Amino acid sequence: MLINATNLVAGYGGEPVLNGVDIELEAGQIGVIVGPNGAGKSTVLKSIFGLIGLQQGKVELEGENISDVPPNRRVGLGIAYVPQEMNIFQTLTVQENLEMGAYIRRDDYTSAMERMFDLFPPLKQKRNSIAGNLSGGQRQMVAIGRALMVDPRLLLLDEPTVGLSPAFVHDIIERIIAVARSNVGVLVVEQNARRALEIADAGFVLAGGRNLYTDTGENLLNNPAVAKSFLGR
Amino acid sequence: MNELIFFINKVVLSGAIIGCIYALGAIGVTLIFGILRFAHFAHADLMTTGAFFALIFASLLSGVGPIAGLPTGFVVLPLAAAATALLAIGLDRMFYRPLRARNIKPILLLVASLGVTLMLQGITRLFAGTSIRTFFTSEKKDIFRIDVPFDLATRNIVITEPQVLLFVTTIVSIFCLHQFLTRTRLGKAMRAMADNADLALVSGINTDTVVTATWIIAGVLAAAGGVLLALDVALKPDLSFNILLPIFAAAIVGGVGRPYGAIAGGLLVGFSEALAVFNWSLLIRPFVDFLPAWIEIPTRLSIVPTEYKLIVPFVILIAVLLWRPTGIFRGQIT
Repeated sequence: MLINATNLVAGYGGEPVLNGVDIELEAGQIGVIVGPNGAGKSTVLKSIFGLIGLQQGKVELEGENISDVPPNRRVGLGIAYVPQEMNIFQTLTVQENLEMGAYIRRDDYTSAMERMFDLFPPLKQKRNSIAGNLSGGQRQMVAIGRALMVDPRLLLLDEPTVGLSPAFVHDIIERIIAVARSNVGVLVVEQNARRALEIADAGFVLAGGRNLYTDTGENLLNNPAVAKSFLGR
Repeated sequence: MNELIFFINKVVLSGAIIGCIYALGAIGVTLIFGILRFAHFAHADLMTTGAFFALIFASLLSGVGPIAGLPTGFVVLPLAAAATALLAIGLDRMFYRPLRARNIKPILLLVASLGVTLMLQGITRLFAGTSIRTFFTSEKKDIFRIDVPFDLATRNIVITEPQVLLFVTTIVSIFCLHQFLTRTRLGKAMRAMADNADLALVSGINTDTVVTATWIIAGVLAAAGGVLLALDVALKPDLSFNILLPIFAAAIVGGVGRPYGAIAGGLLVGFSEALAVFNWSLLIRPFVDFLPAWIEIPTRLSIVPTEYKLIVPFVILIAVLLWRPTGIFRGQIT
């Protein structure tokens, strides 16, 4: 098991947002977290990355308990996180953004950077452009590319397609599949539940800070109760 | 022709000189704000302290200046800069870091820096007294008088050796800073952290290292500004506290968090002050024959009397903030 988060209870002070969430994902799998607003989807990613402390529960990466490891050291352990907003360095160039993603790497990462340009071809010509001047879809590519520069084992994506035009949504989802094929576990929070569950090996439907349904993406799509409450119609 | 030379001496050179000093201070202020999100009010007194460090080193090593053919105060600048950088790191460890560790609001760091500035002022007065000191007790301050090759020009363009050294130091500092920020891993990390501190943490950037580097750069540039200002005029305990407000105006006008903006802001404020206090009647006098007889030119015709020079940075500050609220280089909004 790549990542095994059990009984996560966490919040931002006051009432916990998560009241016992379980997440399991194998390497090379895509896990999708869906649910209504306020269900705690983003909070799950933040607690797996260590940005907020756990009140209960634990996070294990390949069997090793990392619950007390601070977030900047989790990067070194192979977890990369793309926040939903403010997920690029706007005043840096595209290439500098990728370099910052590789900040902890002391080896030569030119091949990783070339791989990013293969994965996101539009970035190649824009490598010396200021990232803040790019289009929404290209910014999202920079954000994901920055996270992938450490060659992570687990990639956490918080709503990577929010606010993008349908063509770009398709583009980003294709890239997510490509990343997972390279044996990276990808855990995605998605607003666009139906589209996301279609590509999910594992789906987690959250509500009120708890797992409501946990199954394969396909089974969740075919589950009438899930369809009725969370997928519309 | 003489009037033009007078203009060059009084406006172009004076403005550039004080502008460079403001820029050296404002870069530090703007970097600290970009990384640590607070207005470091102790920065001016860090400059003064740097100048006093140079005075101490200069008195210990009084022979080195004549050997190098430069003012001793300038030769010991690297030592003073190193001492000031260490002091800056020490101040951060003792006063600012414990506060940051408690996640306090940035406004409290600002108040703490006011306390630090009073402390630095007290310490310098305790050890050095309140008298005005100079680096040129045994050495002579070289003054260059540059002849202008025109028949009508009888005056010279006047510039002193410390002023030349100030220009050279400022240009070299800005070049090195630019190389550091755009070419090195740590420099890029510094820009990244100023841009988006949360994402820098998420990327695994060691924020403590970046903070230390920020204090080193700010300390070195503060020492350079303080020493060169003291060499140009004289060293007194309120040397730089007097220019705290123009320095902050320069940092804000340039766009907070933008080092190049701080340079532009420093020069803008410096030239504006020089233009505002310049006696324009001298420039108009040659044309008096072309003016109607009823126009009388006063002997003193400046926009602002010299004593009120300090209002100039504020006028620029208000004007720029009305026109472009985040500064010329679109800085970070507080």
